Amino acid sequence: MDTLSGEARLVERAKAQDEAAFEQIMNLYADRLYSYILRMVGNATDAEDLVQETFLRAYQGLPNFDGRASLGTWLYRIATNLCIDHQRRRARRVPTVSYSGQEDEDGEPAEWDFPDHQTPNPLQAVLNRELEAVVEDAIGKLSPKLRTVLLLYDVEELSYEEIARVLHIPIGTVKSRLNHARAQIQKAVAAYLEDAPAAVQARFAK
Amino acid sequence: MNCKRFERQIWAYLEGQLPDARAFEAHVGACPRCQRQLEAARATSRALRALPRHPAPENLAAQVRRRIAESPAYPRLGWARVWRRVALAPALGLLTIAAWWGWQAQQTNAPVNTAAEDPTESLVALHEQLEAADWAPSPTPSYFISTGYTR
Amino acid sequence: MRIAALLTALVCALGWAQERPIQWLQRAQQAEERLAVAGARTVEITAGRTVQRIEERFWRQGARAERIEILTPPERRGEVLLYRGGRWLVMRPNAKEAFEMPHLPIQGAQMLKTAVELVQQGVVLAEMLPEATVLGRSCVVLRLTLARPALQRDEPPRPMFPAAVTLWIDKQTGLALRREVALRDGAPVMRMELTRLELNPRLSPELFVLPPDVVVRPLGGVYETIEEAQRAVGFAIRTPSYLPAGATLERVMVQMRASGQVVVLHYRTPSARFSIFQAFKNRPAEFEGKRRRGRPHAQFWQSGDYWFGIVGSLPKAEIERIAQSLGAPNSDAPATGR
Repeated sequence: MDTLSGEARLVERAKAQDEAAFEQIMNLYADRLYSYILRMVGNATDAEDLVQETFLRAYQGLPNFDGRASLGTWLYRIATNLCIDHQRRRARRVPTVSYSGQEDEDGEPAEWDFPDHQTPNPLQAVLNRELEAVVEDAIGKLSPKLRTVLLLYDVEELSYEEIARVLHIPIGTVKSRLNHARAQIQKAVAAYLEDAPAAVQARFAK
Repeated sequence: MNCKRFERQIWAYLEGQLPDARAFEAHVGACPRCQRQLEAARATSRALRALPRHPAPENLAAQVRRRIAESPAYPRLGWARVWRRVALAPALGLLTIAAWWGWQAQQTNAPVNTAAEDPTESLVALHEQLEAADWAPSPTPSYFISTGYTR
Repeated sequence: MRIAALLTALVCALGWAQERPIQWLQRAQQAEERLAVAGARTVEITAGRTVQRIEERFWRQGARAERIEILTPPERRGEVLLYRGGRWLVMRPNAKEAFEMPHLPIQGAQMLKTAVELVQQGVVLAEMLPEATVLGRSCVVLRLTLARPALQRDEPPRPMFPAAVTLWIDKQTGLALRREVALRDGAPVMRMELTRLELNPRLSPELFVLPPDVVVRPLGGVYETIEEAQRAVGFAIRTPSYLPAGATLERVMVQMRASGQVVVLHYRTPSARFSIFQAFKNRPAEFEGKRRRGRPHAQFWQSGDYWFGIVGSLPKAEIERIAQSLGAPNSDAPATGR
């Protein structure tokens, strides 16, 4: 509760053109947004560009931002929209590689795909087969609709309501997409655990 | 309790959302396949929560500031105010001024919008836009151009 | 004798041919000044490769009061412009501050008045084109062109007027629903078009009035005097010691560009406009270049730690004189070092 009002005060100061307050907002959200965008678009160059753009839009949109609304939700929405636009622009220039098949879980044609998706550490996944690497890899293979929801819920730790507001979808859809996403990751993890030596398996039991 | 039902409840159980977990836990003991499913889900959940936060690039704040300065920001009071401070107080300390000039120095390699054409075009276009804005029945174009917004 | 009669007949015919257009122009001018109107419009300005496009809603009480709400571009959506007491204010909805623009002369609204005078003097020729429909309304189409585009050397200065203007005037109300303006020969440079029209709208007074608790501040970035602008700029603004006859400083703009601050001194003479650009220190990419071919005339140079540029519809010789009064090197020497 305290953090929330602290953030609201920051927003108020930033809206009053207090540069230090805006810098603080950047500090608070830089890593979170960068991480999220990086896992969405799959490569560092684009992620860098997009996270800068996110903060630029936030700066420009501040005058119109209702200080009582959630700053985080708003920032993630900007970031998500930028990722969508980014992909649409790239899709026109680069032949897309569909990772999830022709239709997504809603039965609609797979809407947005991110070509050139490199998992943050592909080498590690192949050589070390650490579980995190397997999970990152599996996230990268999710269809973008599922990927967004999973990242926002399980990695960025937004609530169902917040995710619904970020993506402009009903909460029911958030939950069902989350289940689908988790199921797919779970499948990859289960497969990994099957092949892993007993010691690793033991590590993950109970 | 059957396997299908169990599967549907796994995540609720992991998140402590299952009101009565007895039937669920009983099934775990009885069904090795479902036990493996639970382990996989647990591992997934742990891994997801443990995914590292990738640190944003160090120069992010500086880059954002550059973009803000490049884009016609309205109102420009915030950043313009700092410039005024620099102009009026040269004795403010080398550090402050150096910091701002240092920020400016990064701009020498800033890309020009249309690399192929004469860079002075942007200033010529600014003048022409001002001239043309005069003949618009609305003050908006003139206002935008005068305050640096040319998009 | 016969020649005189012929000439008189010609002049009368010409005058008569201009009578209908003049009447339409006068009607349009009256409509602007008297009618209460609301609606939406698009304004598009093309200069070189730069295209600026604005969509806005507006409510207008003749020439007395106007309210504009910006729709596009999306970054500026929601901004409100209010005209009151001869000044324009700018604000965002629900904001506690409004910003006052220094006097920005709006030619556009007075264009019709100027057009009538110039057509009567024969400086501008008016032509009726085939009728057209705009917004489902029947319009007359008027095309105005300068009889002699370039001022002759010994001609007295005349009011500025674009090279070509096309007006679509609604026959029923006299309102100009569409306007195209070309400053010089070539593609149209300014296009305005109404996309929605509401006649006799209910204009409540609140539309044109600032909420009581709103504070009015000056708008940053554009100023009426160099002294005011100097306070916002991190370097000393240099002023030309030579100015063409009748030149007045219309406004000073301080713009943030990639290379830093750029100061723009915008001057107006009775028949021309020109801008002087100035930047300091780090080589600003925009100033790289020497002389330009074609119109408008331009010149860019470096003087000490400063970079300058002049752009305007002045004769080349005038631009050179102004430039030299600002420290430009002699025309024989290379214009920019590096």
